[in-house]
Amino acid sequence: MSLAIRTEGLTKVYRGVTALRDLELSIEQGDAFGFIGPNGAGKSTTIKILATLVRPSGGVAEVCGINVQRRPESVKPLIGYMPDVLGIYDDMLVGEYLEFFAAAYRIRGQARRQKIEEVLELTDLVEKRDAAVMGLSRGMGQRLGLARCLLHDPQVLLLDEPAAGLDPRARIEFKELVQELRRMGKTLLISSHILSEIGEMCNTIGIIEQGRLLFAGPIDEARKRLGTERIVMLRIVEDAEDNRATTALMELFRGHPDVEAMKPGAPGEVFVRIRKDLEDISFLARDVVRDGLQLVHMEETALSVEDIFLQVTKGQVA
Amino acid sequence: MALPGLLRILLVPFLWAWDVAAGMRAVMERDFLVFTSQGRFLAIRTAAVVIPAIVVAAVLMNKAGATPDSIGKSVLLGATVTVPALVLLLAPALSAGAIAGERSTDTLDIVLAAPVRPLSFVLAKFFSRLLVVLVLVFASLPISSIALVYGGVSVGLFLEATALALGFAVFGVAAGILTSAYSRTVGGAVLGAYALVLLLPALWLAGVALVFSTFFDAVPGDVALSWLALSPYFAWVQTAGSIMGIGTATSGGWLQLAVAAIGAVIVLIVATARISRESATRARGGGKRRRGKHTMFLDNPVIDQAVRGSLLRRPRMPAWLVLAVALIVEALILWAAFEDGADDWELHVIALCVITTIASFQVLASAAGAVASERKSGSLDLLLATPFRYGDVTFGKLCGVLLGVVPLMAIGVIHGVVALPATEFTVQALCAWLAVSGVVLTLFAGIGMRVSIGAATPGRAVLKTFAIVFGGTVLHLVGLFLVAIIVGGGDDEIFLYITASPALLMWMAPMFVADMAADAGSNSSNETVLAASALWTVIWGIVGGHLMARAGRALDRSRDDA
Repeated sequence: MSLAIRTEGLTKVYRGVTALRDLELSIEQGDAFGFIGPNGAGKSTTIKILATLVRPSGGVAEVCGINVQRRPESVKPLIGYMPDVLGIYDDMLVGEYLEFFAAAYRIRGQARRQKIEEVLELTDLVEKRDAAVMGLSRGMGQRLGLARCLLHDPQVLLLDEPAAGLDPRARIEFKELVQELRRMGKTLLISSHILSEIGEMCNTIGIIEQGRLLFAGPIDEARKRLGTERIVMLRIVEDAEDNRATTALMELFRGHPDVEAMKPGAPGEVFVRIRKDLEDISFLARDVVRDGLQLVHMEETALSVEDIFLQVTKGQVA
Repeated sequence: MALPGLLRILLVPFLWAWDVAAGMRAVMERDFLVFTSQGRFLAIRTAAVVIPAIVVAAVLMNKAGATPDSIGKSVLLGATVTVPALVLLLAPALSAGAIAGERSTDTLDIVLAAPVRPLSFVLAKFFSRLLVVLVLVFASLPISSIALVYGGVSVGLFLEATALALGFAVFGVAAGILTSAYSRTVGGAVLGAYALVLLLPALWLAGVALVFSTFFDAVPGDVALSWLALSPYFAWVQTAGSIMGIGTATSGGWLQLAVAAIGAVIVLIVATARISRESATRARGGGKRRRGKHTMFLDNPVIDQAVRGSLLRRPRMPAWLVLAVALIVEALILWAAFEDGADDWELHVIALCVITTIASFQVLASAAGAVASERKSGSLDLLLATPFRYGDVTFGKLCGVLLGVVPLMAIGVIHGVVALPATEFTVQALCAWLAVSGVVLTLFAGIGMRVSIGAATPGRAVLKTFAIVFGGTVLHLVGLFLVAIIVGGGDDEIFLYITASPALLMWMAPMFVADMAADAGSNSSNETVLAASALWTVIWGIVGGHLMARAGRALDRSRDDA
């Protein structure tokens, strides 16, 4: 599959301060790439370079195989850029705002009107067409920003902190919108602080700190590489106040050759650390049932994006 | 039981005043202390001392060997000319951002949500800025008080001259607070404040003079003079005359201070009412909602955006105000010209040059805010991420800025065409006015745009642009004053020097062309001035064109520090 975004040795220095250092990034077409890192890590700088807004100090950045620095005019129609602020013009209505940018993307006449209708419907903003842009809520504003990005049907969407400041409902709606865009075959680069949502929206991630890319790749691969231990959560029925069943469960696996450690959780819950190379873990359920304990739930806990981020930014991955 | 009730009633005004003062304190402390701790305050304070000092030093050099009385009078005259001019230049700029700045940064909501009365807020804004300006006035007092050492002027006259400067300070700050209360942007507030400060006294002078000369020929001169003395400009000239022993012994400085104080009280009431209304509207969650089909100006979004708010596209209050001022000036001058029955060209050229001056204010403010306001709202990145090239964006913005003043210039053209058959005003003068105005407005648009590209906020961009253009003109005039005193020189040299300033060129060039055409002849002096005007018009045209052409590149370069 061809690459939608590629950077090689990308560097940006602002008045002696290195914001980005030798960034190597490869994002395939159709991927949803979650770009995570603390404040000032270089996420927005990377996105702005890809959006042709910032000139890199060194290295190469390409969008769909086109050099961003050499041919910015060819790159612009391919990208939809959504910054962390809405970027409003006061005294404009939603319809005017979209018309303004449609004209900027040289969409004219009937095609312009049609395109505006399409994006208004996609982002569920038809009712807000005559509302003032300044009066929109944060969630509505983000939708409008996305509508603006989609006007010229770009192949790559660069979304800088799109979910910041959204209430829970707006976040869910925004997530659904992103899923819809993925189904449409768009490539998305999403920077965010809300790591749990990156895990749900993206299939690949990049972790950046102090301008250096610490990890980039599929989330599953990150889990495999970073998952130094395997933990299985077992939940049984616990009636007694003295946690008799839980104690019995812990006693059951104490000294088991495949179990490395155990830790009680809430009443009736035990977290069992098993050997990393173990293929078959069905013995856990079998032994519990055989011992007469009532098993309710059993689940191997996967590393969350937060766990991956914390591990990576601790310097555990070179 | 009756006594406590009566006590309560008696205490109400005191409690209310206490509450207002408590609200004022927080806002005032923040504003005054923050402003005076900034580096720019040090620079302004230094300028407030250095510029009068240079003028006084030049006077002392020129007056070497003169009598002490003559030196004292000249020193006070120099200070009386310079200090109020500096106050008029600085006070609107320092005060216009007071409320509009809070509105544009969305901090007004936070302040209004706190238990601060709108009256406390407005009073605090007014007095914090007035204090800053007063610091500047008092900083220059040691310079002007040198006059008392030499003698020739009474303490009373010295105090009158000081009162005039204080009156100017109150007038300038009040004008800034008034426009700030109504403007959504700092740039608009600054523009409005300068328009008020510069044009209101002139309109008063013109209007009163016209009314008395037209309708009240029988009115005694003293009465007419009293009315004229209400204008700060008249009082300024009157004070200068009093110092030099011309005219009346009293200068009108105290009257000016009293008039400015009354005006300030009215302004504070109006501004408080405005903030109270705004606070109530926000509390209701109000806001305007428009409907209607949208049409794009020239189908170019950049130009469309740039002309918004001007007379060509959804005019806002400042555009209507500018139009009203232009029409009032036009009406007064046309009325005066035709009532007088004179067929002279002077009044018509003055009318056209006033139009250009108003247009240049608009161009400077619009160009200065063009890019900076987009950067502040975050829309600049969105625009630059579209297929528009950087040059397209700056060119579109400049076109929009210049198109915005086309209706104003059209008023001037109509005036000129109407005046042509009836007076000595000529086609050459009209063409000269159009050509020089076009060049100067292009230059100002280019300067504003370049400042805007490098500025972080529109307020700073507008202030910097005005400082460059008007500060440059003031420095040019101070330089001219010094050259005339120290080096001397004939009229030719002086006029050559005058026309080098774009702000003066746009007045001088049409005047000379009209004068030459009306006289149907020329002399060497006129030819020299005309040649100098043509030369500077070409030079400034090239500079303006260069600034416009390179604006796109400047915006592109700003990517390095984005």
